[in-house]
Amino acid sequence: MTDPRKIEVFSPETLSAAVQVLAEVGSEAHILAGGTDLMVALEKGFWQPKGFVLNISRIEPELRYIRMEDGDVCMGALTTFADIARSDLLNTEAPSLVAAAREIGAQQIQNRATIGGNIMNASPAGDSMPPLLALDARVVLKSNEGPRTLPLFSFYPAYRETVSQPSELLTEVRIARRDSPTQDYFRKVAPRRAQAISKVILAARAWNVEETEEGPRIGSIRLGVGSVAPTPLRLFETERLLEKAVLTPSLMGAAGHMLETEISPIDDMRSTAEYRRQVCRRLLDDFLSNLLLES
Amino acid sequence: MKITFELNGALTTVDSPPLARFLDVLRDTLGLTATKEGCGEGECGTCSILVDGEVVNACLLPAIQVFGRSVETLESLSDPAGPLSKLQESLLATDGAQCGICTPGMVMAGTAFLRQLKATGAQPCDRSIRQAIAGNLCRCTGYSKIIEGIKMAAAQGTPQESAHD
Ligand SMILES: Cc1cc2nc3c(=O)[nH]c(=O)nc-3n(C[C@H](O)[C@H](O)[C@H](O)COP(=O)(O)OP(=O)(O)OC[C@H]3O[C@@H](n4cnc5c(N)ncnc54)[C@H](O)[C@@H]3O)c2cc1C
Ligand code: FES
Ligand code: FES
Repeated sequence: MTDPRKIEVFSPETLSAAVQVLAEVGSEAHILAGGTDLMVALEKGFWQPKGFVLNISRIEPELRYIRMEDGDVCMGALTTFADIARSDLLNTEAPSLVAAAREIGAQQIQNRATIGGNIMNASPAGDSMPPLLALDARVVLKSNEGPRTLPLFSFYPAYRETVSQPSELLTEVRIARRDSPTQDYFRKVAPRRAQAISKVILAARAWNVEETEEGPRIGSIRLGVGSVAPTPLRLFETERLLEKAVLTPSLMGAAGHMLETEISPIDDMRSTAEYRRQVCRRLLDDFLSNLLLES
Repeated sequence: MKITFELNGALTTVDSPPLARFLDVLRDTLGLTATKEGCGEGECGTCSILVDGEVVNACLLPAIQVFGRSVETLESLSDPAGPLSKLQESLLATDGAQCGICTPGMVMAGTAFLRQLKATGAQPCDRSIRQAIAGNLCRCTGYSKIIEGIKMAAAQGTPQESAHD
């Protein structure tokens, strides 16, 4: 076997050149972005690249940006978590994603780790996906046949798998700009604040929270969770139960039950299924009981 | 393969396997051993260097990705015969270095932080300093003395710039 560090690396200068390579020999290509997952895997021998490595870091001019376009906030795949943490636009439009970015690794990691790498690495414990799910994010995949855009909630069919094809490159993440004020939440439970893999993650967004005679009523809600299922997960059923209903203690109890039926946590080296189930429920309670009424 | 980049202000070309760890290129190919290896997996920060002014872990950096970038290592802050940088002096004064294994990385992360303070005019606080060095593990000092040292350097004004800027 050849030394994996000596494997051939191709570093295209443009997006179209990268996509052309994927069209021709995509099934042999290993895409390299910031390398924070891949270099660890290489060091530990978990990653044995066979074909060649497609280093996309030189396409930065085309793939590293945060900007508004057609009413969407758009992030290029090579946007780093440091870029996200210091973006005024995202601090306003996506505070839960900014909160996640600030807790990913430490400064050294945030300066290198890309949002595209986090999404494509497809770890159930990836920190950016729960907020992106709660923000109704869509991802853009590009091949030389053109781009396709799909909601992130349909992106992970199984543990560590995505629906992306070998001929495709993830190029962009899009979030619709808010049209009314929202209440946003991100909570990562981990042994320490920096450099820690999550045990449970809950991200949420609610809007149109109104006062009624019987109590507050949530107009719309989105819930994304991590580390409690084989894939990052959006809690559609729990959302449905909570939307347009009056938030009474019994509804909160029912929502907690529903959440438990939607997640499927496991015991592993970081935590237990039971702990994850309870904490995930508590995080939902925390979000719901701190919702502010809009006047 | 040949990789050209700026190293501590000088245009440099090395011949290296593309996915070699840049840490090994520095230490083994270029003989620059101020940058240390601890964990080798991005956790400890003792291999911290600056790439285009941002602190990163050299153990996670594939050699090919320094192409065309500007790299600064601890060697750029002071040379053995010359004066130390303000941050290095401050860490000495506060006993912020004990066994010394974390120190090269602390100095680089601290330098990046001090430059950022200077650029934004922000005042340092314990929280922001802790955040800046959260990726640098120290088993000796309990961090307080390092934080004190960074504060002291910040109070003295600008951090020592590397030789070339
Ligand atoms: C010390 C340390 C701490 C960490 N802490 C956290 C943490 O707190 N939270 C967290 O979520 N993660 C954490 N990580 C994991 C990692 O940093 C993130 O997953 C990061 O976002 C990966 O991005 P990258 O650019 O470095 O990816 P790479 O390592 O370059 O690639 C990761 C995967 O994505 C694929 N890929 C990358 N970009 C694209 C693209 N545009 N199109 C298609 N495929 C692509 C690659 O082929 C590879 O399979 C940590 C890692 C380390 C080493
Ligand atoms: S040796 Fe690079 S972070 Fe520990
Ligand atoms: S001084 Fe010993 S590890 Fe920090």
